[in-house]
Amino acid sequence: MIRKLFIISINVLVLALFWANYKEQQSNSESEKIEQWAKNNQIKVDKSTKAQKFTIDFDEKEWNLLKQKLSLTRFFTSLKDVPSFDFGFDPDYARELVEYWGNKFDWKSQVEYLNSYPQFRISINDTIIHYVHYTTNPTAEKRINILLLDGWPGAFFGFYKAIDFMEKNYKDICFDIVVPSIPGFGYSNPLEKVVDPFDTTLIFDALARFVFGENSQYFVHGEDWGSLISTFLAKLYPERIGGIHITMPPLTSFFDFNSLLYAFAGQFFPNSILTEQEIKFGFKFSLSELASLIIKKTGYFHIQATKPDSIGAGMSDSPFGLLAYVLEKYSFGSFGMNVVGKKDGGLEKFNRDDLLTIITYYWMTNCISSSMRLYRNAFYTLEKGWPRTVLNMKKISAKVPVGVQVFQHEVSFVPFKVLKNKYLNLSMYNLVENGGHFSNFENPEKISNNFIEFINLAL
Amino acid sequence: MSLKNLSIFSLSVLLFSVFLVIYLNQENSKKLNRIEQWAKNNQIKVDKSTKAQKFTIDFDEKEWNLLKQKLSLTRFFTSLKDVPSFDFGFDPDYARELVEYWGNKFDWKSQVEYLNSYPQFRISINDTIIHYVYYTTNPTAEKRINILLLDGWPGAFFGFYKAIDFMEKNYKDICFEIVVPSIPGYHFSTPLNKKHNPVETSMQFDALMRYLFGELAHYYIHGEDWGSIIATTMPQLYPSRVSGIHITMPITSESNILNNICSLLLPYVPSLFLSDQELEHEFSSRYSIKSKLWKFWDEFGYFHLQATRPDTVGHGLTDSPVGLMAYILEKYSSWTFERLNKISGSKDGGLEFFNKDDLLTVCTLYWMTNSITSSMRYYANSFNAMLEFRKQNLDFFSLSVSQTVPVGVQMNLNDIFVTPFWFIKSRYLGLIQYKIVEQGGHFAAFQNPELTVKCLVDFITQVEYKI
Repeated sequence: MIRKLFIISINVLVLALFWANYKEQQSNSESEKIEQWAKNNQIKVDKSTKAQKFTIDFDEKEWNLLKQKLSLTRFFTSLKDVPSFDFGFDPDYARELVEYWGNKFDWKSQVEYLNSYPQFRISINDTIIHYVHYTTNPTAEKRINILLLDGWPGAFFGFYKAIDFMEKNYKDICFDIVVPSIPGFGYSNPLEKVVDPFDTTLIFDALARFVFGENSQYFVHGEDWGSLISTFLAKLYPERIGGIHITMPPLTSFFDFNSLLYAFAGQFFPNSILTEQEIKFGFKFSLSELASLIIKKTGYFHIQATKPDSIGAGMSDSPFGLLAYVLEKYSFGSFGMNVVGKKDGGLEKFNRDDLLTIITYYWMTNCISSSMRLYRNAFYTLEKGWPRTVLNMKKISAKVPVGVQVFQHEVSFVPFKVLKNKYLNLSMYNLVENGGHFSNFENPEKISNNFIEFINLAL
Repeated sequence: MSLKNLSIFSLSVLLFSVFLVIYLNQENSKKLNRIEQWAKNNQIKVDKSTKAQKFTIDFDEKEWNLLKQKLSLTRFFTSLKDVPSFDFGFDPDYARELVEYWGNKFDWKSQVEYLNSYPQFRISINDTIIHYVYYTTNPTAEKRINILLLDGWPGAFFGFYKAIDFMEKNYKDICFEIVVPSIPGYHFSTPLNKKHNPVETSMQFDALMRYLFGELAHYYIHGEDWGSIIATTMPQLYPSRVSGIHITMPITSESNILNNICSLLLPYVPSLFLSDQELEHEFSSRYSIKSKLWKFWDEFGYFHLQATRPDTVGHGLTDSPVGLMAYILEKYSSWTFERLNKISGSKDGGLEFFNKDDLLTVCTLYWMTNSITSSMRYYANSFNAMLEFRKQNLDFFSLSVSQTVPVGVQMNLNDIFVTPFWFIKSRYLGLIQYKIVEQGGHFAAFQNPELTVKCLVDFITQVEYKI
């Protein structure tokens, strides 16, 4: 009882502090200032900027080194009295995957698959960006430019099935598709300076202008970090962004007075803030739920946001370490806590080669450390000041339609009623049963259909 | 919110809390009695059938060659050019340097001889293997003191060797019966195939002391890191057997609402809570809420990860020597030295202060015993156990330590957290010694064996001669 009272008084204090902060953030004129800043600080892309065609090599030497390391893998034993996957990636299942990886997995064929769509590399703002650029049904009359954005630990080729689906099922639309890799991820390397999600946003917009034309409109689909970058694009360039379609509304945007008030209400009257469908799906949005999320699920986030190099050393050197660390996300991220007790953490549902291709891609590009640094960069660059410090909290104006498609086992959840306050033109909101965080990987057809429906609604 | 409003608000909460505290103190004594009773009922039996086995560490040539092979295949990554080194964690360039030394110059065979310089044993208590060093200094001296030296993560038992040597040479009139156990799951207290938490460790270490010194034996405890936590729990369980505890990491935040309110006020009225010495050493900013929250954010990523998903990070550290080394030695850097002047932008994160062989012996010990994952699981186990015990109304981690147990604290200013006397005393009721060590870090005995021993023996002397 006393504990509850204490928690309540702390809540009240926190809310009061946020109220004070909120009042400052309220002005609409600031959003306009930001848009003006964005126009003035646009990265110039002119005729001298050149993109180079890019093909992924099958590097036999590196592949043999990987196999050699795998053959020397040292394992440890699981605890007998805890369920599998309770303490993280199960060591017995990891052993099984390592044996497959070293002895049966055919990386050469996978490289051919990765090269099935045309790729390029370009230097924007002294930063190397790798991207896929593909045009579906080039003779179709209707032309739509789209950017497909992934996150961590995703990969650009996660969208290949979606692209294929879009080409085959929407023959009357010519999609001009660009799939960039975030600086520090995969072939957007080497990266030797700090680049944060804000910088990435400016760079991706420059890329879009380079490919589609200076004033062309484009639509964005974003997952994970891609969702955050999509919201940044919508806030900086509302004139050019036709609409954004996201699967994970970034939780950091919702630590404001309004949203916390909802979480407070959700603590004591859980059903008052949710739609019927959300209740049916078992979603919760309350203070204790947020606390539990932060404590139970974000250990990796915390260490990557503070000491990425300390943990990067092991994963750059040990394929086994890389596999366990990354695939743990594909397990919990896709199926939630249901994986606890399952020998394979649910991963047998996926194609083993697909999963190992992702890991091998991170391995071959030696990008695990540079990809994790993005987390730290997102927080520690706030010292660069305005508009970084405020952009996260701003609303997305009514000029830019927002479509939200949330899968049942997504890592975080923000209710419709709360989203409406931030996304002033929330034109679509769908919940999808049986799906997780890696939407492009797991549900390429569902996201394609939903995305295109969203675009048609916006046009 | 203006300062005036905040002060009024805080003062009213403070008054409310005072009444709360009186109520809670009564609850506290009741709960401690329950714990003492629970401990008596659950005491581990140690009888004549329990046998300890002498233990010597082998120089395993095959494993050593495998380690060197892996080191030679190490794959590195590049540092960022526009940030100070060590800001993002262990610097990859310095890691490369250490790996070269480790694989080509480090002499593990000699280190094994060094590790074997004190007698070691292994015993099975409650189906759990415990490795320990047991050494008697100056056996003919009249005064006999039984003492437990407890380490933590990522420490190692031999970290106390220099301290033991100093104790022997400089206190010839005292016979110290020294026991240095390794926590189950750490180093040679393996294999460990089931869950294990600090309360169980406390019970097992007490059983070990009763095995060695008899059922009615009394003993002192010196504890660092997890050792401090175990040293705090043992007098809660066995207040009549623990003569006194000397710790470097007192835990106070859970215990007292009043404490938390006062830490809010501290930056505004520091002289109300701090001694002159503490004021001189900037405790008002070191112990402020702002500083604590920042530390929790900046330094506790590893803790957060190990307390929730130890196995996930364990794979890379079990299989990659450089991974293990970077992860562990980052702590020897950031928990020993002051960040802005000594670590950020430096080539070595301050680590050249230590003997390179000593640091690599720590790493190689974790490597050879393949115990890094089981050592990290301790964090997850402890948190789960804490919640379980709370449900049973056995709040070990938030209750105070009774006044009857003398407590000495060595406060190292470069340690992760710094706690002022006033706050420590609110939980450790028998606090009689409090020493501030200016350049001291988290690994007290490893970094400063002589100073640590002096603090420890001063404390013991105080208790023994009731000074």
